[in-house]
Amino acid sequence: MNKHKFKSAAFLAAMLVLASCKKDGDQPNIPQPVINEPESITSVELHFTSLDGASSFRVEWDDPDGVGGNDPLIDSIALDSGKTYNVELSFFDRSGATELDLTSEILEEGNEHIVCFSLNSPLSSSIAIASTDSDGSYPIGLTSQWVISEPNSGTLTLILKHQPDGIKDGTCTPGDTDVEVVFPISIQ
Amino acid sequence: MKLFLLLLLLAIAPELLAQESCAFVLTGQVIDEHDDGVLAYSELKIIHTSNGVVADKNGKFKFDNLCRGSLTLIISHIGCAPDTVKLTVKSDTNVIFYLEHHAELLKTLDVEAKRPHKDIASRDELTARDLAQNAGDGLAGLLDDMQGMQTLNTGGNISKPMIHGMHSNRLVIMSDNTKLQGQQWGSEHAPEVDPFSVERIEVVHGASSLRYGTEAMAGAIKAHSADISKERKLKGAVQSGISTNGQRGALSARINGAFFKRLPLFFSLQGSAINAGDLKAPNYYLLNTGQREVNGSGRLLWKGKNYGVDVQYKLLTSQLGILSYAHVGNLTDLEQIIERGQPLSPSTAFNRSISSPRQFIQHELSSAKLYWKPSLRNEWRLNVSRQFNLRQEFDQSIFSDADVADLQYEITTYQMDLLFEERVSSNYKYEVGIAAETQANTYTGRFFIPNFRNYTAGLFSIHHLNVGAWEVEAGVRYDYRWQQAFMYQQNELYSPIRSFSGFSWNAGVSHDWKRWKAMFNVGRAWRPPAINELYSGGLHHGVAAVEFGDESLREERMTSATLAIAAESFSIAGIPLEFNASTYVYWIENFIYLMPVLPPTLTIRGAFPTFNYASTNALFRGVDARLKLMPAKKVDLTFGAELVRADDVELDQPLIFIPPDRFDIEVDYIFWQRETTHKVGLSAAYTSRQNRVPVNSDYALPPDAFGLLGAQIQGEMHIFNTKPLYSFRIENALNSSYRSYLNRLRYYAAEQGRNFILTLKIPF
Repeated sequence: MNKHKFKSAAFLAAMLVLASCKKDGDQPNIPQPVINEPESITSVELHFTSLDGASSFRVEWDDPDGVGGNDPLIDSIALDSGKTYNVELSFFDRSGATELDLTSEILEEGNEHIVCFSLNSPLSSSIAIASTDSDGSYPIGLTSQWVISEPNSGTLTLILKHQPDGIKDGTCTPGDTDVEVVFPISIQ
Repeated sequence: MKLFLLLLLLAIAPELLAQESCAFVLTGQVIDEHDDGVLAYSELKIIHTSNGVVADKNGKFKFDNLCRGSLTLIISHIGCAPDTVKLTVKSDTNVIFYLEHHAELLKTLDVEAKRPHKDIASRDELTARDLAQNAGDGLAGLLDDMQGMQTLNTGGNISKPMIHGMHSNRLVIMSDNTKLQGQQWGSEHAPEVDPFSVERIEVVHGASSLRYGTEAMAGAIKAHSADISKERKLKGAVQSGISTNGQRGALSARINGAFFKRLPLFFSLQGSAINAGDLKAPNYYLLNTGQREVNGSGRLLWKGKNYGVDVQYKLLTSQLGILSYAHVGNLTDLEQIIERGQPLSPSTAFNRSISSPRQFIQHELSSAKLYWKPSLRNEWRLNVSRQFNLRQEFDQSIFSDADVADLQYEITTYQMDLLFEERVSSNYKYEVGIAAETQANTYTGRFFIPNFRNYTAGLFSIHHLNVGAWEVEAGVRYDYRWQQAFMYQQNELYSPIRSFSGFSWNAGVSHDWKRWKAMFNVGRAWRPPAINELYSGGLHHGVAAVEFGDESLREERMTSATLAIAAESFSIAGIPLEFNASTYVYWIENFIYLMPVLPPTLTIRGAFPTFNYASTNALFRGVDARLKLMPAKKVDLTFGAELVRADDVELDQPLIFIPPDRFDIEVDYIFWQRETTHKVGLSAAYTSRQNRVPVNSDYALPPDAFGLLGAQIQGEMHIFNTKPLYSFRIENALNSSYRSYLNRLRYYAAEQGRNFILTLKIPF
């Protein structure tokens, strides 16, 4: 009797243990297609339109394969002295099969984002950049106006900061960096 | 008549002398030779006297007022053959007795001299009492105070143990008879052990590969469950730990007993929970350093005549926040934080919730151990186990869904270990064992390590010989691993196969001079490169670095030598003392480490410092020492020191992340000793600045030296029929602001400030 009891108790316990075992649903031999590849910015595009309507062009900083792999493709920016440009920014995720435009997500959370432009020293005297959009309190920087004076050359560092939980203060100091890219610029 | 008087005088002279020195104390512990468990409530009696005591539930006992001279002790325990031991008492003495604990063998057991037959290695141990007094601490925190141990931290709430400056892939954690297997390669991956499910923790220093396999280069941490076969009645304990810093609460309950009256079938059930919010540095809260843990375990043990079956199931579920300040987008952000010296907008209010970045971990371990003793001299042991480990990491990104892991690993491990032991004579025994393991890992989400499958097999033999006061041990082991990884490279499936193999051997000798004991050990050990060292690739979040594996890496091979000495019941100038020290040298060929490379990797977030896994030759050496003085009867004074030096021999520079020197002092005073004991203690610890660092491998200089003060009061109460244990302690009593070199997030915030901790263990 006792033996039977023990046997059934042991069987029951063993079944319980087996039944509650967690299982790895995937097979190791083939990496699973990524279900939730976190969206990430791989590309930045700047769309320039001169105020006089004479010229309109795009430049991009493009690294679709992300960290490592192939080197990013970086365009140069060529501007004309004495002109004023309206600049529109777009951010893309090109890591997947289809391109995702992330600009609207950034705009939606405009109060948590800011784009900063910094020009290196000889260039900063030749270009004046002012953001033309706002989240209500501070600029976002997705659209801006660039006033170009005399010919020069140098680099532009474009930074997109994520500043959640009310830390946005109109400067680029708080928060963490989502994008930091450098473009060469020459003014004819 | 004269002759008779003379004889009488001679006969009583020792008595007269003895009366002068009848104040010696004999203390010790009775341990089960079979499984190293303590034998609670053993009876000890001095032969030909009425002097007898009963050991406590930790197997510890004490005889007071002993006279100088020889005595014979009879030690007995239910289910053990009584053993007789002859001792000479010259001073206060501490001894450990090993009893063979097999009820059914009692009749046939011939009483022979018993020797400990333990592996020759430097070791340290945490008892049930130590664990109760630190209830609620994680495994690494518990071990940190032990000799030769350090802690590698990620923020304040994620810790993993280090032995002699080595961690992760270079040490083994045993959960009873099963080698813990998860994603232990990551320095921010805490070991999946619930300390509440553990009765005793043993740490073996130095290469222990023979018994525990290739990764046990720096040593092994062995977490032992309680022996539940000693008690048929329903028994249990409730434990809790509460601390002010982080408003942390931990609670555990355990019951054990026997199922049926006449069957040797025992069970135990245990569960625990931990809930903690943000820790607090002296001047601000460490945002998002909370912890949630829910664990449970169950066990069935059948203890037959000469065999036994032990089935265990353990489940750990843990959720850990990662310090929010450590979320930086790129190197500029990191440099700004370092320059500022503290977070830009430090949190000023306590927060219990956990948000991204965070980790979620589930670890499941099922095991069955079978032992069979066909005769008194032979024993077979078989342990089979299955482990499943789920690790999910949630990044802080506006683009990702907060409830879906950005990175997930699932790894399943099966292990089988078979051991045969034969005691050929009373002074020679050998063991032969085989070990087999297979692992399958998959990932989902962001790539950091690939999918892989492993097959590993090992074969070993260990021989142990006693010659008088000498013990000699020698063993050899061969291991082989086959591994295939699966990943996409430029959208093509790439599935490289690697195999690794090697011999390990070890030879040790120890000598016991009553009050001195010395141990010397030499050996060779190896380990295969870990999966991250071979194939990792990508951004390592939190440390703002890009890391790349190197698939051409070869086996890491180590030659080691360890010398340890221990002195017990010794005295200098009338002050009794205990002393132990160990010194070690490890020479490691193909030592795998992260080598900084130029140029930095250009990403859309800016340029990141880049590290490749590379190998070099490394030399580790160090000393651990502990001295305990008993200047007055109820006062203990303990001094400890730990020093590690590690160098990259090829580049002729120090290795990174090696523990700085540490010195500590503690004084304890027993202020009440009747049927219960209570003591108070003060402690001070000094950690020096790590001045030995490689150039251009770190973002910030090592932090300054720091000293910490602590105090505690602990003891047992006597309420109704139970003896609850309590402790109350203060850590970082002066609320000093400091940073630890061994905290990977030290760039972002200070360590936690003052903490009051109350623990309670109520057995029933």
